[in-house]
Amino acid sequence: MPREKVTNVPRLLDAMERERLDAVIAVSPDNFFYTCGRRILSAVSNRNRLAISITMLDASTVLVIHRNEEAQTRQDSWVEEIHTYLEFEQSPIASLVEVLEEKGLAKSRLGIEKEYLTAAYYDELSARLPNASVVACDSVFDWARMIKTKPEIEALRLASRGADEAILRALQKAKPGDTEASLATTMVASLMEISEGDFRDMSWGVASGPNMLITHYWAGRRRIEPGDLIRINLRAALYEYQSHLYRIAVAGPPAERERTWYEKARDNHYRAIERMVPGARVSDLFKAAKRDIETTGVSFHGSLVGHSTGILRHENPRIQPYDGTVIESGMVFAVEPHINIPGYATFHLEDIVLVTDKGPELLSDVVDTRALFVIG
Amino acid sequence: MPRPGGVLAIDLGSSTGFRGRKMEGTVQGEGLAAPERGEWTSIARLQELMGKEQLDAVVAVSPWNLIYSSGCQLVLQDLAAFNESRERFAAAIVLADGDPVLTVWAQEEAYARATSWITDVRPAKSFDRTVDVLASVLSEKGLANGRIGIEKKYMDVGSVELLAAAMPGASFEAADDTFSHARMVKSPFEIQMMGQVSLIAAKATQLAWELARPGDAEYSVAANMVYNVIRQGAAPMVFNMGAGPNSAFGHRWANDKVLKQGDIFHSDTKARLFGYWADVTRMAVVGEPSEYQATVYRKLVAVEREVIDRMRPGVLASELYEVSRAAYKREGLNVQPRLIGHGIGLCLHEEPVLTPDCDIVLKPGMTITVEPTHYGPGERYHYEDIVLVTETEPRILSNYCDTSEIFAIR
Repeated sequence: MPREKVTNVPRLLDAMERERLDAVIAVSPDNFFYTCGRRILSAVSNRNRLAISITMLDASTVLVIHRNEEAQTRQDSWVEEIHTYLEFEQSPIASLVEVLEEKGLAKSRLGIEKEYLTAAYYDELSARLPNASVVACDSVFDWARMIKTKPEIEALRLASRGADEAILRALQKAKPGDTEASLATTMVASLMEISEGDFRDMSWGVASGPNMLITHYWAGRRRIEPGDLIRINLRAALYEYQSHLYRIAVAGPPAERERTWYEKARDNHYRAIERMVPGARVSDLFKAAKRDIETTGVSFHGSLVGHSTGILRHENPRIQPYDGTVIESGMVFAVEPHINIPGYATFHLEDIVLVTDKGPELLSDVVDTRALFVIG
Repeated sequence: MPRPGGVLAIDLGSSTGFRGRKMEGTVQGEGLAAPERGEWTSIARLQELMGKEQLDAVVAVSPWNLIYSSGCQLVLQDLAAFNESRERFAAAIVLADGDPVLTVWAQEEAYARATSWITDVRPAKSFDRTVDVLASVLSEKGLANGRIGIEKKYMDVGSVELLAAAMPGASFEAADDTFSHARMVKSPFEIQMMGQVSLIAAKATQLAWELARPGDAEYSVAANMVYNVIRQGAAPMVFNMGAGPNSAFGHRWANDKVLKQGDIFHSDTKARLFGYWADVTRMAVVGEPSEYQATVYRKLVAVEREVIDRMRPGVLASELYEVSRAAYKREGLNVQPRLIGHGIGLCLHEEPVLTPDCDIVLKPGMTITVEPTHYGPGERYHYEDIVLVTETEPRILSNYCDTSEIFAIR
């Protein structure tokens, strides 16, 4: 059974018309999925097997994929017209050009993802399609994907709650003396159990004590000592939609200093969530969050205090100082205005928030973040 | 696919183990040491190949060539391959003459310094573009008019155009083959990694088979496999597993299909250790195998062993394909089109590929998979090992236990 269509068709067509494009060609795994309902991983690790979708102004889509992906794609995708090629026999670009010619698009204005398509494939496409005008359309997809459709919101809600539940189980089971890696193992095993095997694209970090100060730290053999702060992050996708959460815990009862800093970070975080309402400008949200952080007496040098999330973890708009996008109902953000105290600790919470006309709705609502989580 | 109602099975009970079965002997990760900081790949080999192409510098940006050139496995680089946060990619610049330079996004600087043997690390600040940092480093090294190798089969055309605009005097050449040829022959450290990760994948699959019972859902076997990869210290990849008719799909993941008597079960297990991939495929059958199942499986293993036996220095990759074609015919199996195996290392599929056209000569130190496949009525038989070419006998790295007969799930 094909999955429910996730594409925001009206926005995609609007953007195509604005850019005067006759068709948009998706080659990245995320935009390919967005236009057909299947994400092909082998196209990422093996670039001979590029997966391509072509979407035209009548909103119809056709696919050009490697032959061994056809059966699964026919099962998952709502797209019916699928052309295939075989690696080492025909190049994916040659196959794409055949389809474009068949559709009468060989002399058209075509959009392609220039920020994903490799230089070698672009050169081949230009050579094989001398009469078409091929331009970048990365921003067309970006803009369509900003406002999530109903099935996308549902998947993001499940992904956020499932990941939060996995963190909760790992925290409940952990005790001082455990290694960071063992906490990570429980967390990842819980993800699989909770979703009955459906979570994927998992990566994680469990940073205890001094390891907290390293950005993107994974997890190691260090044993958690009484009094340690622990920063946990978990990224995972469910039904191809991404959640990314950060939680903070402490091993044993927290000292005054840990408790106080946690509460400052938590209050900033809650304020940032409350500001996620339609009409707010993301650059203003960045400034407000930065001001909150600096009010606690620490400086902030980061570039980002949050970002949209969806098929990719970081999508546009991002909450950064140079983006004037006004947020709208239906956008989904990861909110993360962390406090970093050099030489001491990073207090980093991250939650997934849906913007609605009634205000922000917290999708990652399992772990109670009001108090610092105490393990052991 | 979202299930009806989209319900998460949050109340499955405790998260210790799966389905209450004991996971005996699975903890191996504790003893697995991270590689010592040091040069584990041969930059000298890369520089020698750069000399042949008269390149003044090569720029590594794919996760695999970045690890090869710097020893650095960065989270953002892996994500960028999936089109995620691609504006923050790192680059290793290897010079024909002089010390290499590593550019990273500022927040990954500490991790890069802790793991890379490159000491000249340049952090890119938040809104710097990587291409501008690259252009300034290359110009600083006197290469404003140089001949620079880039990964044209990986780097997006948008970034290549920006780089060319920032350095109008330089020429940018495709260096994809330079990298892939340098990576083909593995160093002793790389061979050690390939050996470990191959065994991890084979063992994780075998343990999952042993814990499986008729009546289990596919996902429960999948979860045990993934769990065992993690417990042995490697990272799993959710990729391809299915029972009965689901075995026939190219790349499909387990779901709630229940294992019933007579189903064949296919697992194409992938795991990654310090950037090095394992790709090991195993088959099982639920209950007693039928004569047909047992026989097809034995024939597949026979084809594989016949190819492996010929994997010796001096043999052409295409000859191995021909060996497999003859063996398929003799055994009465359907000939597999185009590919009977592939090089493996920092890339899941790399050179040499075992196809009719590949004219690469095997050398000691190459690691190559062999994966014969046979499609029966509504199901697929597929078997895959990782082989190290040595001066003498080929060595199967994924040889965890005897798999000469199909495993029966009882």
